[in-house]
Amino acid sequence: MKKIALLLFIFFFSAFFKPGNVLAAVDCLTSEAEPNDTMVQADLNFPLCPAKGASGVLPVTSDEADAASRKDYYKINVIGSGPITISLVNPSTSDLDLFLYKDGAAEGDAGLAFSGSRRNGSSESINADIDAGKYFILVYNYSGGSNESYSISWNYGKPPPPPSVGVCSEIGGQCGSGLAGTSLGVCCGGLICKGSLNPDQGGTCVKPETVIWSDYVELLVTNSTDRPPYCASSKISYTDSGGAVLDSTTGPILVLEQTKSLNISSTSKLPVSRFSYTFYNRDNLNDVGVPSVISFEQKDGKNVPFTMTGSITGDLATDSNIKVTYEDLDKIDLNTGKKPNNIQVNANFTDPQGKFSAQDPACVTKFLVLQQTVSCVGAGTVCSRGRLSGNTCCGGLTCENDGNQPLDFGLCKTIANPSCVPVGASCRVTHVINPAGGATGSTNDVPCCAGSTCVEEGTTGNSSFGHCQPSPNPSCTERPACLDSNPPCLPLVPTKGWCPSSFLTMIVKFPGISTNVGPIPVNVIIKNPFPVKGEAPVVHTVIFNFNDNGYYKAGIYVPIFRTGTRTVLLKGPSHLQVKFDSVPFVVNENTMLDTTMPPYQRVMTPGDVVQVVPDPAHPGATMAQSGQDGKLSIEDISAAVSILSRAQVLEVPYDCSGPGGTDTNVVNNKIKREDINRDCKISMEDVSLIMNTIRAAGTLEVYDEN
Amino acid sequence: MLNNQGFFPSKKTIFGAVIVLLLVVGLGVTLFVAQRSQQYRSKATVTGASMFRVAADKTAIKPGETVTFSAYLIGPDGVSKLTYEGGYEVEVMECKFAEPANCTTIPSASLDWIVGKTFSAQGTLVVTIPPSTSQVIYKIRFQPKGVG
Repeated sequence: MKKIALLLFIFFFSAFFKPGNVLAAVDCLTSEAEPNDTMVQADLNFPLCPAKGASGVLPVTSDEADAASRKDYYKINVIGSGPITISLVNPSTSDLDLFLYKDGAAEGDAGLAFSGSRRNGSSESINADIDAGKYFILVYNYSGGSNESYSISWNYGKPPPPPSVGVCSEIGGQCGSGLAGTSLGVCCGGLICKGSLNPDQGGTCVKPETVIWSDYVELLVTNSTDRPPYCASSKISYTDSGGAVLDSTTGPILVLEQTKSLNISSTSKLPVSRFSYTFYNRDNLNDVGVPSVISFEQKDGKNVPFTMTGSITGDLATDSNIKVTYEDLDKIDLNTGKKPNNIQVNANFTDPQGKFSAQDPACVTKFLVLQQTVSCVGAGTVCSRGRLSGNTCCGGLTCENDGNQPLDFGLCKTIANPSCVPVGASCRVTHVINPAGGATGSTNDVPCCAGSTCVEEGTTGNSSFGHCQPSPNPSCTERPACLDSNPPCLPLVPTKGWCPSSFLTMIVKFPGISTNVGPIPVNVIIKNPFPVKGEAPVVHTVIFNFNDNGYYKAGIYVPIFRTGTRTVLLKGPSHLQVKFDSVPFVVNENTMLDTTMPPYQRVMTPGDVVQVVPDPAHPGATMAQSGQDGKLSIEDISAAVSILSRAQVLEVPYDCSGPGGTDTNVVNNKIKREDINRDCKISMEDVSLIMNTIRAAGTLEVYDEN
Repeated sequence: MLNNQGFFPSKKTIFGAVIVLLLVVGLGVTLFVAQRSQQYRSKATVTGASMFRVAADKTAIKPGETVTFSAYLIGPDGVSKLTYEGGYEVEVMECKFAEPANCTTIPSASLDWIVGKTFSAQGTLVVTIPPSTSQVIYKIRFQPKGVG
């Protein structure tokens, strides 16, 4: 049984002992490395280092034809000139011989030196005086016995001289300091001198231990992996901005013109395989106030969202960018029937496993496309009827809603009686151009009916188009501006009265807002959307006062204002910062006006309510849909301005029906003229003003309220 | 009778045959292992100036889920590839979710979910992200033990 146990031990030991499974840095051979039957093969192995022997086996048969299998070559690197000694210990029963070859020698050469006694089992040695360089030692099984083991070693015959100038030691070569500080050599480039146990013996040149680290593997640990939150940021800039880049959440909103292009870049938290950018139309909000995608083409009868793919380097990347040109967006959005000009771009990321990233406000960029204003659309095209900007029908066409379009839209249809068009309809004037320069006349191709005139708004070739507007009353007298100042001047009233004045009254309601925010100045900019050359916008600074009902209310006189064709812009950040009664709500960076809710897309008219919506991420606070970043920023203001800038004022009654006013002096939303100071009240001040007028003029005419 | 005719081997013969069979099998296994280890050692030598590549089977992962890493040693030619088996050193950095560039190295004492494990013979390593992990980004790199 003891024999059985021993055998089993040997069996299991032999089966599981794996001498080579420990990976270690090998710089000098300690045992032969197959294949080594030729010098070429041996040259690929590590060298046999001086004073470090190696063991080998010549597993050959007596087959003389297999001469190569009788050979084991070893490479040695010798530094400096001098004697070396090579020793072969042969405990076998075969006749092993020893050869020394210079690098480059042919196989079968006699070699530089040879040691070959004719006895089996005899050891061999070579003493040779050689120069520095690479050599090969050959152990040759002369007698041809199989599985003959041996050990081979070599060393310098005397302390090796310092290497020749310019000669360095390769792997396995000596280096460092020997006895009495003699130099034993210098390692060649990329090698280091690894010291010997005996400091007097210097060291051996070896490869520096390589620390092999993998690249970083990145894992995003998140509670929701269905759509991982890869978004880090998005930025937008003009391509010719000289490197200036805008963060998506700050800075003014950019405008894409025909001569410009935009660069949108995005960064992922982890390397992803695909970057896609989806374009949304911020003028086309869905039922919950979120912008809808833009579609320029259809596939299988369905509108295809417009997307662009970001360019990346390699299979995975954390950064990408796209270039957006004017031409990319100068197309009809099939979801609205008109060209989009208020754009939102969402960057999305797809990871190597195909997972699509979650939407993130940090990866949303926005910009405007500057549409050419001198354009009109033909019959059957979707047009804008209401207060939103959009397509305008060309002359001879009118925009009618047949019930199949949204409230503020319609289709351009031919006017039944083209001989004249009514107030508000499109008209067209063709100018006769003198080739020598200048216009020599004009023709009303689509004339306005009596009592109205064609106010030109744009040109196409020689033709101008516009809308018919009531003709000014020729009998009235131009109204002086001071008449509408506060307090007004009181010049003599002309016989036919002053020409009509226009007051723009704005009421903005913030439900639930407390009142103690004080007066807030807001710049109201009145501009002609189709300005005559040299016509500049008029800026009014208006003080908004909060009253108890949470209203802003203001009325301004606009001398150049005429109904229907002026654009109103509001500019003033203060009015966006509001305070809520909700406890414990505090005005902070998350407080924001929702500038994209439908009421605010229009010009503010009496009764308009600006919604303030809660931000789900900040209960009790509000945020901007426009910025979608939960912060009050310049961008939000820009968005608000841009939205308002595209709204046309259609009606601007002098309204006293809102908070702060009384209805006692209002008829059909128009103030009676007795309310001289326009405070919506008849007061002693009015009486005084009237009396002063009488005193100054000596007479007083009472006019029809209309 | 078979026994009488001498065709049935004796118990001693059977025992001897079993021993010989065990020795043959043992030798075969030894040679096989030696051959494999020689190949491994040879390839490991190739990787001495090479690269170590590790990839995860997923990028986004929930706390408490497992992730499988696959490891390869790449030869100096940049092409040859050898599955790595064995232990490793590891460095794990934890980055703020909102600031991927803001990372801190986690001490190994807090990495029992990955420290002490080894790549299998198939070159894979399966670890479980601690369930208590909050929203973080881990940046992990490996160093194979014994390859230099």
